[in-house]
Amino acid sequence: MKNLIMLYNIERKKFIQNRFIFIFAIYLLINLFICGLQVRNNFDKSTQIAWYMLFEASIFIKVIICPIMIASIVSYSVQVEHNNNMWKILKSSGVPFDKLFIVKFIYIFKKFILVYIIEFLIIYVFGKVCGITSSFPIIDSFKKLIGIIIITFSISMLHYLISLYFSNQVISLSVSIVGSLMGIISIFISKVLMYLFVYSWFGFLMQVDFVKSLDVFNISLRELSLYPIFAGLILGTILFVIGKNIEVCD
Amino acid sequence: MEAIKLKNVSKKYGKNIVVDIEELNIEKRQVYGLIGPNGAGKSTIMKMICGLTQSTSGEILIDDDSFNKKNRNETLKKIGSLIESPSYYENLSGYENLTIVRKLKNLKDEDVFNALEIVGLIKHKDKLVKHYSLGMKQRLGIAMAIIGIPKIIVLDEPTNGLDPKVREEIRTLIRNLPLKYDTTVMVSSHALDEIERMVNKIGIIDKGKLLFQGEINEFKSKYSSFIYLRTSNNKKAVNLLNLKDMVIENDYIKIPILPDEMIAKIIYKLISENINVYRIYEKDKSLEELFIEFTERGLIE
Repeated sequence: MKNLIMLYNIERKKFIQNRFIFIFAIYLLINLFICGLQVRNNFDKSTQIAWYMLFEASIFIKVIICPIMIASIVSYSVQVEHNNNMWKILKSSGVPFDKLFIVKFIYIFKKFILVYIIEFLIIYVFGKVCGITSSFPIIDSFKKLIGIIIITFSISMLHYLISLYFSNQVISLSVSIVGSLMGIISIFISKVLMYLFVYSWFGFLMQVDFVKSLDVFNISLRELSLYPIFAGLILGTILFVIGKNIEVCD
Repeated sequence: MEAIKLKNVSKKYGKNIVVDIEELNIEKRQVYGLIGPNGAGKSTIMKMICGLTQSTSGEILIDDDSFNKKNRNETLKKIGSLIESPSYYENLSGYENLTIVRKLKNLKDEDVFNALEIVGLIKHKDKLVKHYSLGMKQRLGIAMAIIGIPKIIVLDEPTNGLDPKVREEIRTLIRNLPLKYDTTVMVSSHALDEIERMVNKIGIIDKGKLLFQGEINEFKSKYSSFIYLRTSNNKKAVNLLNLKDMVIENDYIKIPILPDEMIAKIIYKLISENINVYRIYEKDKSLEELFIEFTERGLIE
């Protein structure tokens, strides 16, 4: 444990002049903007549906921007070692590679968790400011948060492996761009694809349905699917086990 | 007792055999120079010793213990290395970079200052590495290898990019490391005159094979000295003498070094056959000349 803390402190030192904060700030601003656009639509702010509508917008945009954000952050954290080949020093230091692997991932992943918590708080405050008077759906919001975190775990683990294996980080970023586009497309065209394609799993966290009745669209809520939580845990764990033994490109 | 021993070690990439060493021995408290042309396998051998790549077959022993997956991390703590080019985090200072290495290796803070002092970077310790010159980065790489003075230090072309004054300082440092700090050093270099000034023992490698291993003087005495003769009729003299490895080179007959009595007999024989001897001298080849000839001719012990 002492060793892991030491390695974690070393990891912190490497990113003193980091650019993460800018990427996260842009992500939060985009979220806020999308929520702002959603608020302009006419829906009853006195019902709980209002909160779900806000989250719906936020989650939908995640399908597009989260993979790219995740890939950027993960690639940057790995690129720090690829630059000037610090892997030589790390691999020959006598510290087991799996510890280095775990600590670097934890350092990055905890930032994502923090950003998502901040994001949810921002959405809550924003909703209140915009006049939503109903009670906040704590349980469903908590499930969504967990779902987002676990999907992020599997996507970030995937990009972590790609970034370790290929020294050219453009590959990881390209995969994320294609992935996010495919994620959006599969939400609209095929439920089967949604189940298979990790980049579209955010779609399962969307609960609002528009049901047409005569000429009117009525809003209804469906049950939150826990599929991405289980699938994300399984995929993330498999990738984690593979990653501990990966041959880092050097 | 050997600090490093390679027994029947080979490294293959696909069908390509890049290293194929029957035996390579580096004794404790020795400075061992590994010499070879580009692509000979020097860096690959060093990477295998430092755990950066695995051998395809064979055994590597560090301090008489077989270097394997079980004891890999413990063994690596005894080794410091600079392979190919220096590694660093450019957004951190020299001091911060070395602090990271010392924490990884569980060393003391004073080891950082000692390493900086030894390589002459103490005045620049707080400067960001991205503002270092090439020579300073190279010195930082050496500092990372020697920090805490490990039992074995592996340096791949350590004086690359350094100015002459610093080169001499680093050569002196390397030469004195074993005696001063009870360590073993393995160094590779293309600058053979430099190797000569640093090492006790050399290994010459070409196309993955170890062609020669031993003391420098042994190598030079075996292959380096020649006698040059200028006569009134070199061609006739060559036919008459009929010695092994005798060639005519720029108006001179070149003969590998022979005992004095043999030289006297040769001169007597030439004169007896009415061939005048105009000039005779002995010439030592530099290690560089020897090396080029040796690897071109592929002489094997």
